[in-house]
Amino acid sequence: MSDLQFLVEITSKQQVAEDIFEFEFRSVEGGELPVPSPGSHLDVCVSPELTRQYSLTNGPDETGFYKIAVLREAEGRGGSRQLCDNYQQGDQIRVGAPRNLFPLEPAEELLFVAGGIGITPIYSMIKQSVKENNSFKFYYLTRQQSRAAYVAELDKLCGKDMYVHADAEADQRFDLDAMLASPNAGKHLYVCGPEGLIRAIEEKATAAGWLAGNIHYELFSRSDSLVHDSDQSFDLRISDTDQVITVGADETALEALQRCGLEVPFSCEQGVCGSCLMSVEEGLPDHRDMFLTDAEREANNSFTPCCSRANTPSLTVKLPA
Amino acid sequence: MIITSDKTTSPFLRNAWYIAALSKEVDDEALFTRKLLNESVLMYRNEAKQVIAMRDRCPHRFAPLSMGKRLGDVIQCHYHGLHFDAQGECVHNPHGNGKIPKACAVQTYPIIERDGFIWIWMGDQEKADAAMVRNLSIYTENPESAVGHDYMYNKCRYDLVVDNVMDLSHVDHLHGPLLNSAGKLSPQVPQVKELDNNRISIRWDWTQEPAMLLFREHMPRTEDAAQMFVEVVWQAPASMTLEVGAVQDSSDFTNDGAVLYDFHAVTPETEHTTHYFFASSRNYKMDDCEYNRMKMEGMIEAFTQEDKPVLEAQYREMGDQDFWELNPVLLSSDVGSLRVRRTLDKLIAEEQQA
Repeated sequence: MSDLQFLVEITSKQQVAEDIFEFEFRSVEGGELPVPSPGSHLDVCVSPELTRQYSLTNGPDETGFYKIAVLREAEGRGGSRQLCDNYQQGDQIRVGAPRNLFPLEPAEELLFVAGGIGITPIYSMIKQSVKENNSFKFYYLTRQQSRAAYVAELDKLCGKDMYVHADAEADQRFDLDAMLASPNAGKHLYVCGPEGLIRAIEEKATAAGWLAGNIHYELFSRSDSLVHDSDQSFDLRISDTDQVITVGADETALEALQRCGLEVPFSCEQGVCGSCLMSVEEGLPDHRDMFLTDAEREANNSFTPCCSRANTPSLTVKLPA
Repeated sequence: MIITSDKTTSPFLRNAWYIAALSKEVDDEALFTRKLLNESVLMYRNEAKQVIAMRDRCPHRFAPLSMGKRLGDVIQCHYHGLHFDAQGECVHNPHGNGKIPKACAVQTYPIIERDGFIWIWMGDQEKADAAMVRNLSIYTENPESAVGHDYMYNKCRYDLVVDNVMDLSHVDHLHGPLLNSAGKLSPQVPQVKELDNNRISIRWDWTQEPAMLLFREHMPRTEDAAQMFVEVVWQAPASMTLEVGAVQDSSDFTNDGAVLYDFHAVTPETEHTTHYFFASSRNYKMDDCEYNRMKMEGMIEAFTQEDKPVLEAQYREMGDQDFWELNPVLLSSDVGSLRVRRTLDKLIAEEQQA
């Protein structure tokens, strides 16, 4: 995590779509803010315990301020709710220097895909590409048009190179295969959105012959979030004691165990090290770790509570001795 | 002579092919000695130029046979003059009535020499399967001007070298300009795959602008971005092929890009020290001997000036403590090295239970 070195004032807050709020930050101390590159994100200190990352929408000529757009997730873990509900124009907040884990690299041809709030880094990339007169196509995938931010602005920038698909309002599902049909070595894909969409696009693009190095997506969204929007709650039954712990839709199994005062060793908290591995006596785990071998995964008799979940309503597990 | 080894537990996988030496290290005359898996091994070429390997220890008073002298293919012990043939059998005893005690023999080891390496089998000889020696034929097929082999010695446990090659995210941070990958590997969670024969592969793909220095001058546009990849395939006990390449305007690394075909293998000398073998070839400038020499020198310099100091210092810090007992804090880039450690631990446990 970078230092939260800048105290900024919220110089504008406005709703730009259903549940999406745009914030503009300017330096309080009057100092210069570092200029972000397309795809950068900002650490925002929502409360002393809570720092969240939000992608910047700044284009190449938009310097001297930072702009982010935040989806207020009513069911989320609270960061976006606090920011959207508690902060108003004129309030001050601390932010870090922009960091870029999703840089836009030079390419002959670009394909941008944004799913929902994933528009924010893509918006900054599109502004850059328009300025540099780069050839691109842009697909904006959303549930409903009313939930898509910046459609009018993007329409002005992109014209005929923009396609909007609203799932709930369209007759058919969006055809990802058609979008990804013609890869070539000079064509690069940038996608940002829900993890499921990113995974589906990565898989289909690879199958369609895209080079792995030409597929770019925001990685921190994965490692930063072990729980996804589509996750559901499930029960952990502790075999020795018959205690049943309900793992909420918005927490990990490890967090639920800790919340109930049960001690489980852990280390990496991302499914790499296996420190938290538990035996599973009943039920089918949804393995999301990278620790288990293929054979261990198929045996379904252990799982890593730090990131894995359940494919059955309940898992019976044994606490480590 | 095959001597059934005693059942003391080895910390190493025994039923496996390890590299004992580079072909060029064992010449036609000399007695070459090297400690492998805690055992001193004598190697020499018989008159048919085949490599003979036997325990470098006379069964009488344990003097190293490598101190002795060659009488054709026979070795004479320097200390009390026993003679041993290439099968490890004692063929002459100058003492008393000259009777040769039945137990007077030296352990010999199966050897396969191929592609510039001498492979040795130090486990159960009935299980020695030549098909399990890695295919490194590229080092035989490519011209000498595009192939290099080298040997290094590290004062650290061998598995730390394996970790180092399986987790190439360190290239972002540790390596100087020649091999630096500009921070592109660390943010990735690399793709790990299980292959046949317990082999494990790991791969990273990225774009670098300009290309990694080692490849830059071989790109059509030296200052522009290049697609890059690196793929490592580990096989038990401790060898890794490593392909790394760069390309512009194409997706075909092999035909349109510059690719290095490297090989890293380690053999424990002891639990604390490691023989490190390396080979490299490539698909560009294949006829350029001078480039070949400079490229090998540059790479070996990186391994000995950049990797080796940190591996050895890391090992001094770890001492004799077990890796897992030290509770390492593991990161996403450790996925491949951990899979390898777990696979090797499993193979060693299976071998010791058998």
